[in-house]
Amino acid sequence: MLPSVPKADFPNPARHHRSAWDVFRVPLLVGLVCAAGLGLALVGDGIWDGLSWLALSLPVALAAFYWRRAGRSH
Amino acid sequence: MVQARTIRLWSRVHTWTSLVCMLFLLMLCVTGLPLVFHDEIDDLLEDEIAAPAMPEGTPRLSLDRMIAAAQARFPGQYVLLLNLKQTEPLVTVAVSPTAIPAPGNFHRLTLDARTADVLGEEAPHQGVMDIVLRIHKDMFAGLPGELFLGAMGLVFAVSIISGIVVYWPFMRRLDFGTIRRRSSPRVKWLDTHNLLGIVTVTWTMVVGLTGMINTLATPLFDLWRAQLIPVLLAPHLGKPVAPIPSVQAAVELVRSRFPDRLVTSVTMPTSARFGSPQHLVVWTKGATPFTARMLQPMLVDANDGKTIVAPEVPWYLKTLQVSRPLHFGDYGGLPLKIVWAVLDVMTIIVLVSGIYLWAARRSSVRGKPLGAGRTEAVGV
Repeated sequence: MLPSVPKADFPNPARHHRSAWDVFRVPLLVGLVCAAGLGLALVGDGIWDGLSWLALSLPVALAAFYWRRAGRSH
Repeated sequence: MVQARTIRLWSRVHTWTSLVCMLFLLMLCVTGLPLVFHDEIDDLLEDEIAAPAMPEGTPRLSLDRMIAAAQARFPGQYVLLLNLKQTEPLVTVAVSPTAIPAPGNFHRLTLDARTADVLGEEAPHQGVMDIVLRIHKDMFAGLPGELFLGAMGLVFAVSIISGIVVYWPFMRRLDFGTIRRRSSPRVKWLDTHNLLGIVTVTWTMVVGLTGMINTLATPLFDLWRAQLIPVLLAPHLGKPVAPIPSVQAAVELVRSRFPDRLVTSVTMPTSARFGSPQHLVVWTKGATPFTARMLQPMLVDANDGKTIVAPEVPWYLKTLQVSRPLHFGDYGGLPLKIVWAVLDVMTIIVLVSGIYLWAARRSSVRGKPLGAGRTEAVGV
């Protein structure tokens, strides 16, 4: 096992190990949306800029959502 | 176990590459934050020069009159370049007491394009934002400083990639986005570091790598110039720097030959690095947001005022030009800048939590009695 990671970091040892695909599925999607967002504003103005703002706000929204959910759960 | 050893190796790569670039990256993120709003802060701090109201369609004077007006204001000085404002009938002229301008040692005159009246005069000075920019760009260490920060950008890229690899073992038993707030602060910050790090990864990678490409601007531009200028200058070998020909005629010639390009600025014949001693360099840009980033110089022979050379911009300079907006975040209006700033703050949180996690782990390894700590850590 990982020498640097204490057991406490894994609270749920009974659960199955996830595959790399399971772990990286969501991050990959977020990454693709962000890449599209970075590119869209280069293409044109107006609607393209708007789409770019939305796409690049996704990481911010996800971080805010999960941080708040963690705060509410106890 | 091979896999555990591989992961441990990647984990070490992540730790050490992060530690190496950490301080510089924090500096870059902190100075980068105000720089995102560079234009807005400049507008706030400095009085914007506006062209006085005149009837629609008031004709513009010849650009040669602008140069004459600047020369009358600073007799005997060198006119270096001319900038044509796209949104207002304004022309700025840069004038320097020396043929090759020293940094910060030139005047910038703003003239009304319709009357050649001097509307504003920017004396050589360094504003707060100039200082922030210098720190961000080269830490006041010139080209070596710039290249050093470029190297730090590369180390940062390795740190990001290794971070993605070690994300997997950490998240094998957790749902995406889990933050265990009830657990120890270390676990809570580990989860936060993982979540913020993985969702911002595309942005940090793009901004980091484009920043690294920007540090190569000076050498790349010099490289192109070294390839291009000697060929163009071969027929003029041994001649002194050409006098300034009619700029208006040259600009009109470029406009009629390339009607789809907008003229943004003109560099006078100069022995300095940014121009050619025997040519007027007429800088043009395209009309779409993307092609507007692609500057194309047109070199007009200063001796006959007629021969135009439109050199093909090499791929590495095109890459550099595209990488600029992607680093600055200034290509999608104020909302994009705000998103840029928030992502920058998230990156700062990732950096600081990373340092905290490293320090906390070190102290926990040191603080615990050898036997107990080890069994707990290795257990499962």
